Amino acid sequence: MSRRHHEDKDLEADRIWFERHVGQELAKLDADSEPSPVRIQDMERFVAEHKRHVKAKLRKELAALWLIAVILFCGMQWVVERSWIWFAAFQSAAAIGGIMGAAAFYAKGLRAWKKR
Amino acid sequence: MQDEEELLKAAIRGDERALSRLLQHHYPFLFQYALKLTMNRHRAEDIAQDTMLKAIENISGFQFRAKFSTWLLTIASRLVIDGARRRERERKWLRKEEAEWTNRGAESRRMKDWPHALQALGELEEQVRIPVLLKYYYGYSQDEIADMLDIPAGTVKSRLHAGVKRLRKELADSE
Repeated sequence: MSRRHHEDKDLEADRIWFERHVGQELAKLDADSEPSPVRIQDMERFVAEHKRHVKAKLRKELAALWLIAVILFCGMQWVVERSWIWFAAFQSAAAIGGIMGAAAFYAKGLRAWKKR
Repeated sequence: MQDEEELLKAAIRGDERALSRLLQHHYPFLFQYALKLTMNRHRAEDIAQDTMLKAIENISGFQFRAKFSTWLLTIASRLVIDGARRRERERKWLRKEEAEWTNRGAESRRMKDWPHALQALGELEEQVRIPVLLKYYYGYSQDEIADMLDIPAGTVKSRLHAGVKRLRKELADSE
């Protein structure tokens, strides 16, 4: 008999055992723990409030991003007016950082894909 | 309930009423699943609520690769596993063994009136309990569980085997 067949038989035996010893208790738990129904008006309020909260959070994050971009842009303007060498050094460092970040992101994605 | 697929399409487009109806319909199922994961009514309510918040945030990315109920179970399972990991990290960091034992004591006191089978299930770590429930109670395949929990199918298999083995032992000891 193949190993696969053995494993399938083991799984089936486990399923039957679980059903008999634990499954019935879980079914009783389900029957006893039916939550009180949620009114549709309450659910609509819950959804609307959370969507508002998420939108407000996104607006704040966008504002923070713009602020950082403006600060960086002004900073780089200031640097380029004083020294081309420093400007080139900052730009190179940013490019290297960007490439390393992208490589790390790609490697993480690849690991996750291989794990499947 | 109106056709679930139509409601889902509307919810993805941003229809709040459609999403509310979907969540209202699935709430009891979600709560009961969370209760089996946590074995604690208050934590189950928190997990069900957090799951719905995540669903509201991510509904636009729903791709019909699985049923809506499966998607909700996936979110709830990952929330419970992440919570367990966080608690484990905090425990290691704090090294307050006394507090840990107090918490465990409270948990077992809460569970002491439950049937032996559910107590034994509650004793399993979340990473083991979740695949066991999904496979043997909800009927998902090993590959589906691997997808839901984002772990290799081989890991699901070993956790299932270890979980049922421990349950058998616990229940044999208590008889």
